[in-house]
Amino acid sequence: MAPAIDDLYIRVRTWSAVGLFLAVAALAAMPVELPAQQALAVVTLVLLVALALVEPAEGPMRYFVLLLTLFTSTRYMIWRVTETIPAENPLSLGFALLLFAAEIYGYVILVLSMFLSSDLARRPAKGLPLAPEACPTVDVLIPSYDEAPELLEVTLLAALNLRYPEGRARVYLLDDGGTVQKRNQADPEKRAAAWDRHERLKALCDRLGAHYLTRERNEHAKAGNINDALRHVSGELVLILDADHVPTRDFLARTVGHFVDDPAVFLVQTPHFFMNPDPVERNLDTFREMPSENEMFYSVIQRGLDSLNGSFFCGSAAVLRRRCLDEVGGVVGDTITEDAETALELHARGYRSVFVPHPMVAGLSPETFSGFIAQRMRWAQGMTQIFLLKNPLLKKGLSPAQRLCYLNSCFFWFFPFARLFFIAGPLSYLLFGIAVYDALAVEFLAYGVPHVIGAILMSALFYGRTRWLFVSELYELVQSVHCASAIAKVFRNPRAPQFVVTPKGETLSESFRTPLARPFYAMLALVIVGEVAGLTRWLADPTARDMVVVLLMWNTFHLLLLLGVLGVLYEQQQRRAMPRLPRSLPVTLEIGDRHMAAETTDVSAGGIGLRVFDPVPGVMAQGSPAVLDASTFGSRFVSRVPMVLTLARPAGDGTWTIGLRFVLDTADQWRAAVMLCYARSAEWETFRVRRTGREGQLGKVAFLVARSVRFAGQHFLSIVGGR
Amino acid sequence: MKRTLHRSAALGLAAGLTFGPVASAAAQDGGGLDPFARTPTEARIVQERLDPTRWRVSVPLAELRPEVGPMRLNGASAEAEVAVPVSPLVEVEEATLRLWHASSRGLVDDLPHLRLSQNDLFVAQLPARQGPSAVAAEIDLDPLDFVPGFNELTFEAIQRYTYECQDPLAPELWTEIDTLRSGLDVIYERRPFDRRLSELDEILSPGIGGVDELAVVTGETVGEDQLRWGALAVQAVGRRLGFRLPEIRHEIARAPADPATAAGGTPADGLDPALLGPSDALLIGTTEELGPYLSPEVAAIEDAYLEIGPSPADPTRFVIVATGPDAAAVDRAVTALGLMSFPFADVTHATIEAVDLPAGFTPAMRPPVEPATEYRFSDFGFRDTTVRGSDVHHVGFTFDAPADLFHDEDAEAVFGLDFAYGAGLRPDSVVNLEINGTFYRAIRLDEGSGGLFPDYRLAVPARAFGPGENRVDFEVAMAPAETGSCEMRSDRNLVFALEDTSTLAFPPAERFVRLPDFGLMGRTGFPYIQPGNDDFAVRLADRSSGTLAAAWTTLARLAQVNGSLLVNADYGFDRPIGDRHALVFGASADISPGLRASAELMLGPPHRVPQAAFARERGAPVAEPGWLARQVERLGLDGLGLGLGVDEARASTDGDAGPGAAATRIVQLSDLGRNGLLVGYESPEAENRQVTLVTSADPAMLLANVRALVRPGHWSQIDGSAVVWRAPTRSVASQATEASFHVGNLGRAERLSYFGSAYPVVWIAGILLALLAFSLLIAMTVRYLRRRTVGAEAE
Repeated sequence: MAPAIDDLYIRVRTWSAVGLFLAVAALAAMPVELPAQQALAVVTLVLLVALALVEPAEGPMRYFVLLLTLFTSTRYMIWRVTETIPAENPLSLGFALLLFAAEIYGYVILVLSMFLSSDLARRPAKGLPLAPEACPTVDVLIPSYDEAPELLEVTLLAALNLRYPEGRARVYLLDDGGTVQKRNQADPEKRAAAWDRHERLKALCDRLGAHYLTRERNEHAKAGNINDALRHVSGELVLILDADHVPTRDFLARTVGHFVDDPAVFLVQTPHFFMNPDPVERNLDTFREMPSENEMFYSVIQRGLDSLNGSFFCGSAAVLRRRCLDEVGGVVGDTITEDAETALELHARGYRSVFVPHPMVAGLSPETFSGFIAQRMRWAQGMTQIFLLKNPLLKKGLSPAQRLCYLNSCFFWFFPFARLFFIAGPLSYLLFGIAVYDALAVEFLAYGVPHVIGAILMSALFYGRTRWLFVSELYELVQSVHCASAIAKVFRNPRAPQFVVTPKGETLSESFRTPLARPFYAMLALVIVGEVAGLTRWLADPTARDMVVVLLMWNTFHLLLLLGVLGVLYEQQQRRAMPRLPRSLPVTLEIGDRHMAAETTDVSAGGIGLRVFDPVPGVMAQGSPAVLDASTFGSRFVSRVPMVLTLARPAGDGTWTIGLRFVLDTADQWRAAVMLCYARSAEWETFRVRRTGREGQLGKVAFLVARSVRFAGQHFLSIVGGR
Repeated sequence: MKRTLHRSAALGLAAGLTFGPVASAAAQDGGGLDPFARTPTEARIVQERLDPTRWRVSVPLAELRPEVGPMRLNGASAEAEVAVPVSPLVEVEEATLRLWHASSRGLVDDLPHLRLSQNDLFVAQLPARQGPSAVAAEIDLDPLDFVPGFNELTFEAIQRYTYECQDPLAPELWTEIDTLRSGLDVIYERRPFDRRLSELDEILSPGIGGVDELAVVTGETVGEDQLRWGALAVQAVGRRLGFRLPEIRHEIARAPADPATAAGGTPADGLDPALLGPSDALLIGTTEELGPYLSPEVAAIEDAYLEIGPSPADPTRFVIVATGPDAAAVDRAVTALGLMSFPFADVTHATIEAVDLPAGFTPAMRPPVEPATEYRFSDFGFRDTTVRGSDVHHVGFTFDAPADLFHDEDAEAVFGLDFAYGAGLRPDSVVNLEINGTFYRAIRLDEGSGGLFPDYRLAVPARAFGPGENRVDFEVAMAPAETGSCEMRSDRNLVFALEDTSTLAFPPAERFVRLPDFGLMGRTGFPYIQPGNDDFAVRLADRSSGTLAAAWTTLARLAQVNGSLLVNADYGFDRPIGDRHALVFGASADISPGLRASAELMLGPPHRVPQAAFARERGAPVAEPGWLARQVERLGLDGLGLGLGVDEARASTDGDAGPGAAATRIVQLSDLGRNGLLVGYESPEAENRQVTLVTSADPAMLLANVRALVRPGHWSQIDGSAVVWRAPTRSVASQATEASFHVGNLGRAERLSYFGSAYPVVWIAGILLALLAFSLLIAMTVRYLRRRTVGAEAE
C-alpha cells in the first residue's frame, strides 16, 4: 500500500463520513406528524427487510442499508431526546436518564461500527524476500508466568518450526515463574517450585534449541517481562506469542513482508484462533456450530480498523518492529492492556499498523467462567484506563480516523453499564410504576421499531457471518455485573488495577455452579417478578396496556437472555486438557505387521482419532502399540509417530473408529506430533470458516434459545438437587 | 301562509328558529320533484297568520334543543330541558304542548312519573305510557307564564319498577319522548311597536315573533356606499341574533302610488307600505336619497341619525332609519348601530356625532385566545361551581381559538385546576376531562378524606383544541362509599367544587393554514374574519337586489361567527381585488372572466366542474375496510397510502379528495341548474390570497340558495374548497379541489415539517432519494480510492 494514497483514502473516508453523518442527521431531524412518521416506519421496515433478504455484499445498496439505518437510528435518538424524557418527577427523570444513557451508548457504538465496518481492508499477500539476507532478523518472544512445561514445549516446538531463513530467527522463552525473586521467596514450597520450574524450563529450552531468559524481579507483569527480554535480544523484528499460542509454520512468511515493504510499519497483527471453547461455548455446547466470540473482532472489526490505519496490538500473535518499540521504551505499561496502549503510542508517532486476517496461532481460551471473567475484567479495566489516562480524543499525533478507532475500542467496554440500565428500565415501570419513557406505544412503533429492526438487520448484514443474532447481548450480559464493578473501580482510581494472568489449560473434573452466578440469580428473580407485575398491570390498567405490552416484550427478551446466562454459569465437566480439533487427512496405521488405510477424524496434542477403512479386528486391542505413518503431513523431522491404542470399536459401516495416544520419546517425535496438530494454518482457517455463514439466522436464534433453556434447566436442577 | 324550515343538525336551540318564508327549490322550479325535499325525518316549523296581528306557530321540540334524536330519560330520576325563545314584541295567547312519549313496560303501573314544569313552575304530571306504541298527550300551558327571552320547559321522569328497593340504574327505567312529533303550538299576537333604541338588543332577538324577514331599503342609486351600509346594517342585526338570521332582501325606496295609503306616525311615512309587507325594515341612505320618505325634520338633519319606530306597512313591525347628510354620516350611523353594546339612550332617535375606531381594529364580541398565554377560567365566563350528589354532572365553558393556529404535534396545553371534593367518596369517583366531546384525561377522586387541590396540573395535546369554538367539559361522577341497594346512606358528602381561579395555559404556536377550507370558514370565518384584520374585498358581479341581498346575508352570517362587524372590508362592484382575500357574489355568467379563469372550474354556459372520484355526499354509505386494513388501522399505521382500503374509506368519509384522490376525476360539463356553488381558489391578483365565488344561475336563485346556505343545517356542512347545495339540508356536497395554498408565518424548518406531514409520500421519497444519492456517491468514491490505493491486486 503506497502510504500517500493510503492517507488520501483515510482522509476522504473520514471527512465524507462526517459530512454524511451531518447530512443524514439534518434529514433525520425534521419533525413530522405521527401519520407521516408511521408511513416512513412502514416504508423503512419493508426496505430494510427486503435488503436484508437480498444481502448486498458490495456496492451502493450496502451503503444504502447503512445510511438508512443511520437515518432511522438518528431520527429515533432525536425523538427520544426531544419528546420522551419524562421530567415530572426526579425519580422518573433519574431512571429515564439512565435508560437514555444506555441508548446513547448503543447509538454511539452503532455509528462508530458503521464508520469502521463500511469498508474493510483488503491487503494483498506479502511474501518474504527471496534472498535470506534480505529477511529481517526476528526474535520470537514467548512470555510465561505459570504455564505447564508441557504446554510450553508445544509452543516452543512450533516456534522453532517456523518457516524462515536459517539463522534469521531465534526463539526465547521469557520465564517469569522462575525469576530470581521467585526463586528466593520466603515460602519454602514456592521457592522450591520456582527453582524446579527454572531448571525444567531451562533444560527444555536447551533440549529443543530455544533460549531461556528470566529476570531479577517480577515487575510490570507481561510488559515488564518483554521489556527485560528486549535488553537481551537484538533482532530487527519481534514476534510475541503467548505461552499457549502455538504458531503455524507460515506465520513469519505471511507477516514479515509487510515490514520489508513499508519502513513505517510498526506492527503486523494476526487473529487469535482458539482451539478450545470458551465457557459460553462450552457450557451451552455451541463450539462446533457457532462462530467464536472473537471471530467478529478479527474478521470484521480489526479489518475495518486496519482500513483506517487503526488496527492495534492484541498482546500476542503479532510482529513488531524493534526500532519502534525502543522509541517508546518497549511495551508501554501504564495500563494493564499494554498491547493496545503500545499501539496507541506508536500510532500517535505516525507509524503504521497492518492486520493480516489469516489465523496463524492456535491458543487456548480460559476454561472456567472465573478465568474468562478475570480476562474480561482486565480488558475492560485496561481499556477504561486508556480512555481515562490516554484519551484518544485528546492524544496528540493521532489522525481523526484513528481517534475514532480507539474511541470505539475504549467506549465499547462501557457495555456492562448499558446492559444493566437496559434491564433496569422496563423493570422500573413494571415493578414500581416509575415512568421512564414518555411515549405512546404507537409512537414507539413508529420511531423505535425501525431503529431496533434497522440496527439488528444492519448488524446481521455486516456481522451476520461471524456473529449470530443476540449472541453479543448474551456475552455482554454474562460479563456485565462483574465488569461493571471492575470499571467502576477504575473510575475511582485509574491507576489501581493490576495485571492478572489469565488462567489457561485448566480442566473441570465435574459440572458445578460457578460462584460468580449469585448476582444473576437476583437479576433473574427481578425479571421474573417484573413479568408477573407486568401481567398484573396489563389486567388492572387497560389505559396502559400498549406500553405494558412493549415493556413486557422487552423484559421477556431479558428473561431469555438471563436463561442463557444461567446456562453459561453452570460449568460443564471437561477432562480433556488438550482440545480435540476435527481434521481429515489420509494416513497409514501400522499395528504389528499389519498396515491399514485410515483417515484422521480429530487431533489433539495428546492423541489422534482415526477411522480405519480396512480394519483387522484381531490386532486392534486396547493398549496395543501402533505406528502412524504421517508422511503425508510433510514433516521434515519424522514421518512415523509411535502411539498406543486407547479405543477401538466398529463404526457399523465396515469401518472402525479408534483412538490413539502419542508415545513421544524423542524431540523429533514431539516435533512430528506438533506438526501434525498445529503446523498448517489452512486447518485453522477451514475450521473457522466452517462455523461462519449468514443463512438461517432465525434458526440459529431458536437453537440458541433451546440451548439456553436446556442448560438453564440443568442449572436449576443442580440447585434443587443441592449439587 | 305555511312556512317551512329544515332543522339544524347540530346547533339546535340558539340556532334553530327561523320563521321566515322558505322558498323551496321545487317551488321555484315550478313544482318539479326534488328528491332532497322529501326528508321525512326532518322537523318542520309551521307558521300561519290568523289575522293581521295574530299568528299560530307549531314548533317541534327537536328545534328547541341542541341534541339530535329523541329525548331519553333513563334511570330512577332523569331530567331534560328545552328552551323556548319568545320575542318581546309578541304576547302569547295560547300554548299547547303536544307530547309523544313511551315508557318501559317494566315500570310500576299508573304511577304519575313524568313531571313537566315551565320556568321552574309546576305545569303537569303524566302517567307512564306502557303500551306497544307511543301516546300523545296535550298539555295546555299558561300563556302568562311565557316571558320575553328564553323560557325553560323541564321534563323530569321519576321512575320505579318496584315498590321495594330498586337499582336506580336499572335498564327498565326509561322514558322516551319523540322530539319530532312532539312540539309546541303557540298562538300569539303581535303588539303594536312602541319601542326605543335602548331596547334594540331585546327587539333584535330570536324566537317566536322575532325578526323573520328584514327588508333593507336604499335609495334609487345602488352603489358601493349602499352595498357597504347594507352590509354593516345587516351585520348589526345578525350579531344581536346570535346564530340565526332573518330572510334579508333589498328594496329600492319608493313612494306609494296612492298617497292616501301613506302611513302616519312612523319614521318612514313616505315609503310605500306595499314595499315592506310583513317585514321589519332598515332604511339606509343619505338624506338626499331618502328625503322624500322621511319627515322634513329628519330630512334636514345635519349629522348621522338613527331612529326606530313602527313600520309603515305593519304597526307591529319595526323600521330603523340610518341616515345623514353625506355618505360619511350614514356610515357613522350604521357603524354605531352595529357597535353599540351599551344600551342606546331611552329614545326613539339619536344623532351620532362620532365613531372612532382604531385603524385596522375589528370589533368582535368574542376575541379568540392567544397562544403562549395563560387564561383564568373566569376569563371564559366560568364562575365557581359546586356540584352535589351521585348524578353525572357537567361543568365547563367554551372559548374561541384562532383559525390559523398551528401547534406542533407534541405541544401541550396545561390546565391548572383549583378544585376540592368531599370526604368518603368511593375510590372510583372521577372527573373526566373532555374537550370538544373527546375524552382526554381523568382525575381520580380517591382521597378518602377529600381535600383541596390548588393548581392541579393536567396537560392535554394543544391540538385537542380546534379552530373556532371549543368546549371544555369536566364530567364529574361521584359515588358514595356504601352502595348496597337498601342500605341507609347519605350523599351529602358527594360534593365537588371547581373554582374560577383555575387556569388554562396555551403553548406558543405558529400561524399557518392551508386554504381554501370552507369547513374552517364556516366555523371561524377565516380567512375573511381574522383577529384584528378583516381587510378583505367584497365584490358583486351585478347590482341587482338579489345579488345584494345574497352578499349581505352571507356577510351577516360570517359576522355572526364571533360577533364581528366588518368595518374594514372593501365593498365594491367590478373593481380589482388587489392584495386581499375576496368574496365574490353574482350570477355565474356575470362573474368577471379574469376571476373565473383562476378557478378550477370553468363558469359560463356550460360549466366545467372537475370532480375527484372519491368525493361523495355526506351520509352516503362507506365501504368497510378489509381485515388487513383494520389491523393496519388498529396498529396506528393507517393513513399511509398503503392501498389497503383504510385511506379510501376515510377519504370518502371526510368527503375530502386530497391530491392523490384528484388523480382520478370526472369533468362535468353542465349548467349549475338549481344548485348554488361556493368555490375557493388562490386569487389571480395576489399570492396566498383566497377568492371565494358565491354563485348560482341568476340573482334570484343566488339569493334563494344563499338563504339556504346560511341556515345552520347547511352552514355546518360546508367543507373543502367547493360546495354545491340546494335548499334541502341533505343536498350539501363538499369536496376539495386539487389546488391549494398556504397562508401564515411558519419558519423554514417548521414549514418543511408541515409539508413533510402533509405530503408524506413526497417527503419519504425525498429522503430515500437523498440516501440513495449518498450511497451512490460513497460507492463511486470508495471504488475510485480503492483502485488508487491497492490497485487490481486486491480487487
